[in-house]
Amino acid sequence: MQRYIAKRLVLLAPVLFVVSALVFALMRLIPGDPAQVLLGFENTDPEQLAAVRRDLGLDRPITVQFVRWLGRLVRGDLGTSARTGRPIVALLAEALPFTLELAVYGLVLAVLIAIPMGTLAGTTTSRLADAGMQTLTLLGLSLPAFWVGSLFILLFSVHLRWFPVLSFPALWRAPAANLWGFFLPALTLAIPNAAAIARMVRASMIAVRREEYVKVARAKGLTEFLVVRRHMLKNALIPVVTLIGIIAGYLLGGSIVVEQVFAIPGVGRMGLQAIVQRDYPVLQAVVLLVTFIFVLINLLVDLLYVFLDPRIRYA
Amino acid sequence: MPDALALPTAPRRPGLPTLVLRSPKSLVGLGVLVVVIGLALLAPWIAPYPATEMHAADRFAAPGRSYMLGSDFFGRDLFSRILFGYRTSLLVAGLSVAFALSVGGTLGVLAGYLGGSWDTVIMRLMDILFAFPVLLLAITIVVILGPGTVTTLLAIGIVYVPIFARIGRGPTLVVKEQAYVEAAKALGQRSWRIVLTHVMPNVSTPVLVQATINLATAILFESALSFLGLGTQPPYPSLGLMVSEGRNYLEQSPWPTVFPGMAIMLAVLGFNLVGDALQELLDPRLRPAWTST
Repeated sequence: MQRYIAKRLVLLAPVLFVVSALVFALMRLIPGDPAQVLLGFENTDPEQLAAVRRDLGLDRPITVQFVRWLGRLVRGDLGTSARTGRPIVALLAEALPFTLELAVYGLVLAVLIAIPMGTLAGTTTSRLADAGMQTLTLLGLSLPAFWVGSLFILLFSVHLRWFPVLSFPALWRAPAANLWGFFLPALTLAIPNAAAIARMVRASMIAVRREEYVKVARAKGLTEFLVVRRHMLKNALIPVVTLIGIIAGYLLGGSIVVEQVFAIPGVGRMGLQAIVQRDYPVLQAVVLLVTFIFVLINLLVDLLYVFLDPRIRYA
Repeated sequence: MPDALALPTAPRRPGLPTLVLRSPKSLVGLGVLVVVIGLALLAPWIAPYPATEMHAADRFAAPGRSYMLGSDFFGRDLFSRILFGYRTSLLVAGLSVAFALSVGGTLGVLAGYLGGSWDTVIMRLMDILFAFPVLLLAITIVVILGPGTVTTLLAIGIVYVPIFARIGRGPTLVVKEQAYVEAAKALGQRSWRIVLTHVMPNVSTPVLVQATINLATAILFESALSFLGLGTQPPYPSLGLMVSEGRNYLEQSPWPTVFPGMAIMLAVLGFNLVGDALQELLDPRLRPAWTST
């Protein structure tokens, strides 16, 4: 177990290095001159352009640029925004809490919806109930998040006025108002993921239903509720935990769309604005940060899986 | 007496097409898909108006006789735009999945069959692609290549490649060890022939199921990119773009937002129903609880 964890942690460094190199290379493939963006498109003075290129180190060979960039990255320096001149680390520090909260809130809601639904669908002996649950989950997987979010705003914020529009106070300042304001975005993000998790719970419950220990538990005379809760759910949730982990990673990507719909000033919206404004240092930092978090979550999921399922640990 | 020599045979298992037609879920899904694909194919003939034709006097018309599903800010017919939007969605989804399936599937089969350093190099490359969140990677590709329908198609295709590589590699590893492949090798058959005649048929079913599911997600993907302004560019109709445009006028008229979103959902649901049914048919472990009572 410890050797496995150590091995995975050692492998993390080269993965992060390759990802960084790839992000660096991809950003260099974007057409357009970063120096021109910084200078403004109306300014075409070649001397000023050359000076900016020199300042940015763009006149040096690409490998030198990469090594310098990597050196700064390791020290936690992501450069400055080409538009505002502010340090990107400060911009990310402002935006990241919104994205993380949205992702965590979305995940919690997804799990709260999915586990009871999936358990019910996987254990019910009523064909109608199962078909109903399956229809709901397939519908959930088929809804475009940007559409659901837009309709939520129209119905609950504009018409019924239950939820505020564009109000996202900080969690530590006004926890209740914050959770209320984030509810619709989090629910929008949660729906397709709840559907995916519910399907997995259902499939997993169906698979463990035939296991010997479930038959033994029933033969012991345990009530159906206890059989499901103590014996089936516990085992059925092992693959589900992996899926939840995978989804946690995807929530970060999915939040790009939801942040845009609800105008949440998170990392995804920051990245989209950077694209529109051609602020490539910011875009690069956003891609890098989200990918790093994604890689780390995937690592955690793998480790958690080994921890939960001893068969993998000793294999 | 030829009968005496005949070996007892197991009852023939019904083929996949027969099974698909027996499952209510896949029948509903296929029905939805026939309608959606039919509407897209027949769009130029059945659309009441050209998709980009504006009618300044009929802005935000409610659904009715002149405009079946209403009209948008420019007085463009929503029904006609949805029909042409379906063309974009289905074309992008179909071609991107075809791209991912052929490139990823081939890479996966090659990695599995050739093994050794080929396997390591191909699959590590796929792992690197997997290290990126899909939407973020697709957005980055679009930014590099410039927004547009073809770019969207390529971006979605590229991010799906590693999925098909993994799906292709698994069964190949199993088939490679089978006696009939050994026999084919002993007979001196060339590798490409063994792959075509023995490996491909075993890989095709899981790949097909994955492709159906990915068609559903590709439609969602295309619409999300268009919604973000990175996919199909105005004035050409794309369902995601229509929702994005309609959102600005939600209070004047909900229809330009409601109907395109519904149209997306319907197409995605069709593919999801078929994909789900295929998975259940091919994996008996997924048979629901009520079948055993």
